[in-house]
Amino acid sequence: MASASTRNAPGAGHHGSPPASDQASGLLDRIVSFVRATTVFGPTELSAELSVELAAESAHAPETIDSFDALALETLRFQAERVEPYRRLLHSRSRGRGIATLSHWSQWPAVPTITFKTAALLAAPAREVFRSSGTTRGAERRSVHHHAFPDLYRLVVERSFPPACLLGLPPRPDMLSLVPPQSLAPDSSLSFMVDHVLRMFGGRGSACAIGSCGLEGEPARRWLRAAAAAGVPVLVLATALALDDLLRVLEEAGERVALPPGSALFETGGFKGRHRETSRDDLLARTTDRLAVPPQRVVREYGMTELTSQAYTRVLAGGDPDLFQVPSWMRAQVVDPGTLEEVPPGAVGMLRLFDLGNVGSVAFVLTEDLACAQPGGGFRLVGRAAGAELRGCSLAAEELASNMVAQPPQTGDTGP
Amino acid sequence: MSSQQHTSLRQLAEHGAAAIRALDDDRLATAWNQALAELLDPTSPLRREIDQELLVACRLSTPGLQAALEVVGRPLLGGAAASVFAAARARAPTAAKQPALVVLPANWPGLALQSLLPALARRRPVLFKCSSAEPWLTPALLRVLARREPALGSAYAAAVWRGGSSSLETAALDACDPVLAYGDEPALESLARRVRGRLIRFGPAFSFALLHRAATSEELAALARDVALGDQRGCLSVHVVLTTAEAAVTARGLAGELAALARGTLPPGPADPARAAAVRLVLDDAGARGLLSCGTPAEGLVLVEEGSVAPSPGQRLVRVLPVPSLSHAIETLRPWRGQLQGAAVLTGHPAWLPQALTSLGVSRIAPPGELQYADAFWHNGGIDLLECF
Repeated sequence: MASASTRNAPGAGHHGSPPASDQASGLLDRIVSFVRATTVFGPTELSAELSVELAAESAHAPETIDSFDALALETLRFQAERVEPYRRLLHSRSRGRGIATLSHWSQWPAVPTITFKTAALLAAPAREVFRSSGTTRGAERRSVHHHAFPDLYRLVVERSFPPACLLGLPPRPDMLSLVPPQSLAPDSSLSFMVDHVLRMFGGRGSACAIGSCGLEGEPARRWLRAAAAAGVPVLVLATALALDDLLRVLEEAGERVALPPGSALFETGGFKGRHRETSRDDLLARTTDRLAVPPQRVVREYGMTELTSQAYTRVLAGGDPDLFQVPSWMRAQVVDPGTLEEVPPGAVGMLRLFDLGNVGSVAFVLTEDLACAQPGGGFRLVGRAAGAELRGCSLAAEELASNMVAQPPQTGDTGP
Repeated sequence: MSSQQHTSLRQLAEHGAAAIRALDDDRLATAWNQALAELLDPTSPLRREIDQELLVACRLSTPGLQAALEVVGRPLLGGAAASVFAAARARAPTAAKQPALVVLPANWPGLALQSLLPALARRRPVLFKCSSAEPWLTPALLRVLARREPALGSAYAAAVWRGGSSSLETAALDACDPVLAYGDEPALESLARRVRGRLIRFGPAFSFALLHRAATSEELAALARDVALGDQRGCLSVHVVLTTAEAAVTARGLAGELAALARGTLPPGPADPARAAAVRLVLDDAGARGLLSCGTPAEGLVLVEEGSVAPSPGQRLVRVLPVPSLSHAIETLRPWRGQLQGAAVLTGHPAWLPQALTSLGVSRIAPPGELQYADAFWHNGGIDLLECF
């Protein structure tokens, strides 16, 4: 596992990152400044305690901050110089036009997430290698994200997780993680992230209830009972599958554990191609029933192996439970698959993301998710690109199998 | 679920077999041919009744819908149907009276025909479970059939229900044997657990072309048709071309023929967002990998692939894979054994090739342009429906 940065020194390029070229470190430092200094989601997002902590951190930022557009454009130029597959994509799409004519980042091509399965995408030497779970045809189909700047990864988690997931919770709440730790899943980006969240924001009573054989039901139940008895709000971190497992354990035991009011749940990962006897609505209803955590305290995360940053629903701030918001160093666009032009709000298109956190690989990514943009910002997931699984005269029986339901739209691909 | 659907199922179970056994082959064949002819005639009352909804549901162009129906229906008409009835007569009569359940897919219109004809010939009642995405064609066809031969109204029925939400589903799964279903592997596995030994699976599959020499322009035009029919949604649709000839030349030629079809006799239907997205991902991934791509997403794309076989996301996207020899091609295809349905092969291929293809599980081998037009005795996935019924 990579060495942990400290809360006060998360800047990439300073702790644990490889020596980078002047160009790389200059750009990286400016991105770090941007991530540190900008308001992540909106003006009223932080609890008082977290505001104080992060304000102190922001005080380290330089007075002049680049604009997102300028940093994005520079990042693309930097990556076009260093990432051969990106240069090839640029060439194939530019049809004779020079890079100089691409004056705005949105005019540049985005790299399909599937290219993380087929090509090495490195703009700088990798310090961490993250792999997706590879649900299709074995290991050769797993996405690989060569991450050059894990400290930047930690920084974006530190900046975006608290306003999305800790609102209304006490400082350093106790957390129960149903995500394997990095010691069990060393190439999982979700494990990397959750380990860091536990280290940075978790209380002393935090625990992980996932072992090498999956959910550890008894320890999980004991932890929940203790949390309920203590009466202090807690946070549960889970993939949808792990949450389903936990609820099944409680259901089979006939047990309900009412977590203290104000407790919250961080949920990610969808069902990752595994058909289960549940839907998301069902999962939320069971969560309310068994844990007394209502849907408006369930934060959905959208993240994936191929990205550094995460989008979140802003339910804890009173937001729409299905509307994802990206942090200030990220941009989300919904585009027409044929023209790659942005579609009007409400129309379905492909989700395209620009993540400055991906400065060490490729920052502009075309996902496999279908989404609708919303007029006030943010996006809703509405489905996935076809072709992930072979069909061919076979679109029917899925409808029939009564113990299987349509999978909810995947919240990224982060799971272990 | 409506009580009418429950009644239909009860009728099928109690009276269907007796009703259909009272009819001789000639009467059944006549009713079949009349109903099928009406289905294939775009000016018929049947087609006027359903075409508008069918075009939307299937996302095919008007010529594309007609071509897709012709592909399935034309080989089952007239003398072909008579041959099926004759073949059924030659088999031992079945004592089974309970209805079969056929779970139909939505991606190719008219697939009910493939099971309906052998079921008629074997006097087996059938409940067709239509996809909620395409609930139009089969009920309308069965209505026409029953108009021609009223007794068939109590032997064949179509129903639509949302999976898992209907007591009819439970009743149908309990009452029917066999259960024929098209679906992906997890869905079929789940269904298999529920119907225990009564499931006949039509799992996911795709087709390919194997070119042991440079194809002529006529052969490439025919191959383009194998790709474009049904907008590449069928299991006999060509997804991959393996060639020992110059791959770039093949790709350019095929892309040209796909474009000509798109602009001419077989325009594509409206793009489905999920498929269009998948095509975009594949195209841009090819760009990042430096692969040659020919054509356009709107008219058909051909990529010169490296390494391994991968099925297409559809929408007339084909991968051309250069191979040093046919033997090498067979080995390249081997990981997909069990999911390979048909192979288009050029004339003059080596004598050993059909056997090698059959060993991969390929159920149909035909020249380019004929792959999709499977005859009445084609065993989809190797399954003999006369035997099943």
